[in-house]
Amino acid sequence: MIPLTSGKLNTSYKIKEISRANEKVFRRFLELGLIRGQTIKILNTSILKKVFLIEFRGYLLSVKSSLADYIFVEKV
Amino acid sequence: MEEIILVGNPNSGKTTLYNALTKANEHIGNWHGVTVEEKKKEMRINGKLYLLVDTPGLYSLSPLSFEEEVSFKIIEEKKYKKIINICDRNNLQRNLYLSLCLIEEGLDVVIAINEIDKKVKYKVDEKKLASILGVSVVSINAEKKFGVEELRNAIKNESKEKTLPYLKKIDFSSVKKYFSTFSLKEQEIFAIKAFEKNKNFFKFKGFSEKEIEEIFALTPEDSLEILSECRYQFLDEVISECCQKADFVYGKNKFDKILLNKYLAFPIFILIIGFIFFLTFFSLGAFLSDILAKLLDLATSPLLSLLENSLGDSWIYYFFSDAIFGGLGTILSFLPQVVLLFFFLSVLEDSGYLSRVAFIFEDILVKVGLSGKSVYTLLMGFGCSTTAIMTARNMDDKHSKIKTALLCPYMSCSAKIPIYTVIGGAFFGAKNIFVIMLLYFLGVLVSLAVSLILDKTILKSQNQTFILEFPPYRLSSPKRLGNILKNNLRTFLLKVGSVIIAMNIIVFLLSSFTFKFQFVQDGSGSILESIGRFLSPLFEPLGFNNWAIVSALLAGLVAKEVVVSSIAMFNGIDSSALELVSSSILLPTSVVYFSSTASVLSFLVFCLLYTPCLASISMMNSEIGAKWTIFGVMVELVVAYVVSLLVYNIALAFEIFGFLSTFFVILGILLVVFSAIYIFHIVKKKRCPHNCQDCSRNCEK
Repeated sequence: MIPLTSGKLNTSYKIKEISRANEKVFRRFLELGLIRGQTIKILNTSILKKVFLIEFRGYLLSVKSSLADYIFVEKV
Repeated sequence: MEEIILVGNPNSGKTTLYNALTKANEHIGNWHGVTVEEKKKEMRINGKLYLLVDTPGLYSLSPLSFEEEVSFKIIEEKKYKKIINICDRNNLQRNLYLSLCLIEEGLDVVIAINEIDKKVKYKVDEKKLASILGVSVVSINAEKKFGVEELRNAIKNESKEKTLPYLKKIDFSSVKKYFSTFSLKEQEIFAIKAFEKNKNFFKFKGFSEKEIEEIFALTPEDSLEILSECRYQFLDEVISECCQKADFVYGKNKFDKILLNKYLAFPIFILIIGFIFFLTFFSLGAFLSDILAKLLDLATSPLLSLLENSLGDSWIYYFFSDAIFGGLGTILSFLPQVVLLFFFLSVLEDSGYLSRVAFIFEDILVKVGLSGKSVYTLLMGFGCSTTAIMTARNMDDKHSKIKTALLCPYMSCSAKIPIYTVIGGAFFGAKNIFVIMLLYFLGVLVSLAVSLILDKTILKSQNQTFILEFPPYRLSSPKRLGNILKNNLRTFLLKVGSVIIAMNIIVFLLSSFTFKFQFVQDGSGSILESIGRFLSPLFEPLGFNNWAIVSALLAGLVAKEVVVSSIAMFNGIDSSALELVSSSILLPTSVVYFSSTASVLSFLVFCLLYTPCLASISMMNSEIGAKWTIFGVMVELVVAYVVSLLVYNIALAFEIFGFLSTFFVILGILLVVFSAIYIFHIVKKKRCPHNCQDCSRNCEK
């Protein structure tokens, strides 16, 4: 299990756990469909890797790396 | 009058539908969080009047931001007859998550599936969806007003109360017992809210903190995850049953490979913005400004000659010619530029490119305590600070909003261009374009430095939740472009124009009357001159200890280009003859006279950075409050003074000691300063006791 920020571009991962360290972020992720078992793919990162562009459930989301750190994934 | 409320995810087309149902003309955009407060307007259904309420976007009924709380309260107050829940057809599953939350509470809902992007072939079986969810479902196209009548009819239908099937899978019994004194329906809703650990809901219902803790203790630790997973599993089934989903990813585009490319993203952004600036300020904008100025002249000159013949050389004549028509001239001269810049940026906003801009700029801006979302507001600042400040509302947190609003005036607004061209042009000739570019660059640099200082001191970044959807690229329709132009014109003329005219009248009175209320045509002995003379010694260190220049700066508080017309007035030249104004400031016999390049540079920098116009100050006051406005104005004055002082002394050193020697001295000073900062950081790091609690440093211990 690795944090999403350690993942590689264009590789599919499965969400294993969402950290509850930041309640607001935890809630927002669940509302948006980032739930356990969800397949997720990193499409792009900003130059300094401060923002991640992710694809899941047929749409795209850009997430700050400090928040993407709360998502723990496993390679599919 | 009964209310109908419009709720939905951000950027799902709520405001477009609101405009379609009420014939209103509210601002919309292909961008997260355009609506930041509720809006109400009448609408008619079968002859009966209702009040339609547009609410800020939200993803569920557990509000996480100020705007979401506004919507949450409207929904929970239940003062309405019906909820229209608008869902984006292209992202239906995620949009229906909110619908489930509304249906779970037994609220009377009609679902409007909005087709935003026609290119996407995606069929939805509305009847099947309606029977599964127990509410009316209508397909609409809010922009083209397709399906709006069907929606009006569906509003009349009552929703059937239905327990959603996935709720039966969850064991709510332990929590339900706590609410045994309530009705069965309430027990069910409260149990769901307990599983959501929805503090806002229970607080709203009047439960105490202690009671809320007791309720939450009855639920499993991962109750929210269980509930969310059940909802999404149910939605997976719903989508596969009701939708023929094409295999596409909403917002994914092959252009992003180029536009978000590490090496190409910034050059492409600079090219796009450069092209917009060229059209706005140099070609199209300047052409339109000239036409408007000529039209105004054509319209006012017969009136002015009539006034001159009847009133003679009296103050009333000058009141009309200088204060009223002069004010109109000021507005019209930069009206095309402001409107054009807004127009182009709105097209960019509509196109979906701004989300990409926020993505590529997040890296840089986060280092100075801003967010990628600030780019839009700061770009707007190049057109008009007043209107830019309004857009700072889109920021995630209060501190970011205040910071972004405070930084807008450092972006060189279009009203400052006449100062640069007339005053700079006199000294630098053809090279002035480089001076203007440097001034723009300096404005951006100073704003970043100010932001960094504010971020490290009193306006620390709060928990910025940078989660931004990537909308697809879209082309604006001609009708929409027309609406953007109309709205921008109206906003500028009403909100900004009225303040400019009012302030122009005040400056006219101050510059045309003495303290004994005697009229003075050339401004000598006027109240403005007296204030200018009193303040001018303060500007000695900046190289322009001249009462007329200081008075012109004071007059510039109305609109920055009044600085030029004031200088023209003091030098006794018609302000429309710009070349004469330029040459007059080089003559030692003129009232306004610049003796050296250093003093002109210092003056230009001061104009770039000092207090924004009064229209901006009043807008700041309404957006971020009086306390922060006063603070911002004071900081701007101090920053302008300090930077001008530095520029004046450096430029003076270049003039006196020559380029090379001064360059090496400055380089030496910078080296010493940076070495000191570096050594300070090393010493500080070595002292780190790894007492990690409350430590803000990233030492990874």
